[in-house]
Amino acid sequence: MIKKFLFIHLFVLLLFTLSGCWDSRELNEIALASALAFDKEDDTIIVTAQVLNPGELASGQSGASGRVPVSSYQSSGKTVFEAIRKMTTELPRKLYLSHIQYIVFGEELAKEGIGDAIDFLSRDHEMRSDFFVSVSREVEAGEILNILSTLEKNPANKLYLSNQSSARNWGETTQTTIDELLINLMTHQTQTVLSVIIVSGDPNDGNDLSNVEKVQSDAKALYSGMAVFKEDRLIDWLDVYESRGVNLARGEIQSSIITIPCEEEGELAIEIIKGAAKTLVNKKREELEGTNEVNLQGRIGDVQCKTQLDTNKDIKKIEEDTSKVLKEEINRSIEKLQSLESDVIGFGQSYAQKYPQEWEKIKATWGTTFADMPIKINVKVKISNTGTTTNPLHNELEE
Amino acid sequence: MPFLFFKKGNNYKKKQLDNILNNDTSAKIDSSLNKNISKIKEDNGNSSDLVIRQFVIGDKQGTKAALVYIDGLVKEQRIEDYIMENLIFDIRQKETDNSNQNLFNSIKSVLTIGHTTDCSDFTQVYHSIFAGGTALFIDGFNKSIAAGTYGGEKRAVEEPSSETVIRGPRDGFTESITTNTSLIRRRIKSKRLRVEQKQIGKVTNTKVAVLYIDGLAKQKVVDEVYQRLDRIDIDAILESGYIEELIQDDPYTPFPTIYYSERPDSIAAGLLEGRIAIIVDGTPFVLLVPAILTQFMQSAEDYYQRSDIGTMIRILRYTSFMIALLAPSFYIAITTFHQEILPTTLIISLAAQREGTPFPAIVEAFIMEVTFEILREAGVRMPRAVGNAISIVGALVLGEAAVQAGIVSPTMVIIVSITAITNFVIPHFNLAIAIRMLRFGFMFLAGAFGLYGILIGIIAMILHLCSLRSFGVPYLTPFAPLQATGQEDSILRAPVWKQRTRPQLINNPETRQRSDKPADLKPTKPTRK
Repeated sequence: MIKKFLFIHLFVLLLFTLSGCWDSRELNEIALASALAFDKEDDTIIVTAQVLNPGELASGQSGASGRVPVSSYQSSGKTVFEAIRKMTTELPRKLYLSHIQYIVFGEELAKEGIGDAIDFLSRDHEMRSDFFVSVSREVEAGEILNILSTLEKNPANKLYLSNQSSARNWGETTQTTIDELLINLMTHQTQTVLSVIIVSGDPNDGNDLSNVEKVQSDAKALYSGMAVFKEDRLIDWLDVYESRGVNLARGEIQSSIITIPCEEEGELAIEIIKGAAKTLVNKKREELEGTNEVNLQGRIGDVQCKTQLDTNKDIKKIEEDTSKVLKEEINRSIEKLQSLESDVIGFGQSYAQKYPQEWEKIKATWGTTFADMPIKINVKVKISNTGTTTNPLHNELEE
Repeated sequence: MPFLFFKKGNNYKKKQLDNILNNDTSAKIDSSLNKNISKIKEDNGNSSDLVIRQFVIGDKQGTKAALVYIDGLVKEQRIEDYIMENLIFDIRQKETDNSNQNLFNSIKSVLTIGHTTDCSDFTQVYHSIFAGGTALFIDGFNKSIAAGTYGGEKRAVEEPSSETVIRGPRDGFTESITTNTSLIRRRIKSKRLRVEQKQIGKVTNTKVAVLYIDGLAKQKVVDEVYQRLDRIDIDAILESGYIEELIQDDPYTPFPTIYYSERPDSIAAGLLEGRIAIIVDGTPFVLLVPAILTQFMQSAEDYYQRSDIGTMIRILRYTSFMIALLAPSFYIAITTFHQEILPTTLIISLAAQREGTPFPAIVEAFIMEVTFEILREAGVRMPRAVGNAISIVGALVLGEAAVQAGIVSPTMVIIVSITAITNFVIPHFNLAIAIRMLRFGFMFLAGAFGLYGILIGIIAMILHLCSLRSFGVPYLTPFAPLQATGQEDSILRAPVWKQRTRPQLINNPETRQRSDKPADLKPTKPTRK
């Protein structure tokens, strides 16, 4: 009996001492934030938060009154945390950060270094680690949060999904999450690239419901290329094909369309359906040499010229042409990265894994080592089918 | 009233009561008929349902006799045909001798009724007539003949209303103990089936029968059952629930440690597993011990459908068990503590529904759950004719009006409905009601401590379950202690030909259920010629 009594008391005691999430908050007492944007003005950090308006967002809810589905709140402070808490002067509820879908850094802030803002993101217990990080180009990060979108009522979700969809089907964006970013910044083995968000049209037009009442919206937020970082500083931008080259070299391509010129006039499009890459660094008499091996599998998706596709030889020819084009594309990306001395492909990481002790010595000067290193690129393309037809329609057209 | 007996220092009252209860029915039967009759009348306070029929035996000696029985308990037809007629007319042929002893014997020999016993004292007489027998007093003899004229009104064997099945026998126990034992005897036609009757209850003298199969049931458990039944010291047993409460192992637990059923097939199956059944006169609910938790999650039908169907339905039941126990508390914990664990779209729609509701989630949940419990209780107690009103009011109040008035969120209605529905999936009412009680505890823990509280609650519940025993058998068998053979019939229901051993710990370990070679039992495909 005494044992039982002690036992029950132990449980009750544990309940009070160990409960980690002591503060209960009702769902209608929190402001669900979906995205955060950081800008810099002089010494202060400007934080913009996009807060969801659940009544408008939820489907099948009769309470929808035609108001905006999200609203953004802005405040500034010397630190991020200060700015976020200052928001309560305007926000009726406390900001709840667990459902953040993406974070965008302003161009200015990114050029000066994102390190200041990142500490809060990794330290705060409310932040999850699965949201995407990106950079805004030519507009302030805060302005991106003001643009309403049509298909997805929640603009943060729209940007999250189009980043995902572009990375999966086209290969221009990168799905960098906060913990990946932190690993890069802490190990120095790989430099960071982030997706870039731009705005087409006047960002101020997006700030109104009329933007989503048009067939063609006035202002749209979309992805374009990538931003190259050196440590935590933005140093340059990559265009469409340079971005895709980076993804190819990193083996992060899941699917994309490669256009190659035909033998005669016209173009031919290959759909990549599977991709993998390996990055190696070899030491030959104190000289370092990098190798980038890319293996791709594809199918012929679009032929705009006269050509024969029914023998293995024809296919082999196209495979070779494709790998040549891709090699060129990857080479352009790597050369640009070498000129920027920023190793985003991960040569540093494979070197560190192979020669951990030597890595420690040359860690600090890896940027220049990478820039001077000869890099061999091998691209292997395997074409597995030609779609639902064999020979192109063009062969028949002009006869 | 029953509590009186357990109180200490109440000896005086107890003695007084004992005197009233015991009277002095043990008095011997007198040889004077008139004395006997007046004693019976006095004992029973001239009860109006007591019938005393006086008549003269035969036509030669003019011996006076009297039949004593209780109106309504006997089958009067039998008294007329097999006692009265014999004693008045048939006796005449044998009535030559004048010896008293011979008269008694010839009376006995002419009685064509099936069941007779000689009584020498009033205890035996009362025992017989209150059970529906008829006592024959003959002037000049200090003995009485009790004839088995049992009869009276009883309910026919009907389909049990509490445990319905789609496939399976449709007969159910009734209020009559003889019908009930016969229902079991019909299923187990073996000389090893033991039926032993005793009387419990100082005032009610209720018949209680203990049934088990000799050789299958552990003798130790049988002895323990008798011991516990003998220890019962109470004035009245009106339902088997009284016995259950008086003999269960742990008096303070929400979980049932004694199984009951209205179905003779369930009880027969229990007996065949080596369990012991206790039938109480006056109730169709028969007790079965020892009981384990998995029994309450099983329905008789599991064994009548094929094993894969049985297994699937059992998994469904265990899932429902968890939902019925935890759904509201999970809702409370997630919406007030752990908003981050839900997908964003879901949390948005939950948040949209919570907009404008006045109460915190825990209060909302309590209001809805309590309302539902009230409605359910009202539905059970209501006269059948107005039962429809409850469902209309319930659907309107709970489903529509409360949501539209903004008092509760639609999700809460979904949660309450799912808990209610899943609760009905649990086949045995006494386990279902235990879950209903525990649910509120879990809701409180969730409201105060979130998922952490729920976890602590579950740990405490499992520890408690582990500590329970039913007649020496751990309540969580075959999970704790883990038994490989027990798994054949717990969450899974293995094919009949695969279940070779009876449940360990419950039955006599030497007995096997089926042939040693399962290959003999496995159905084989017919070979093609």
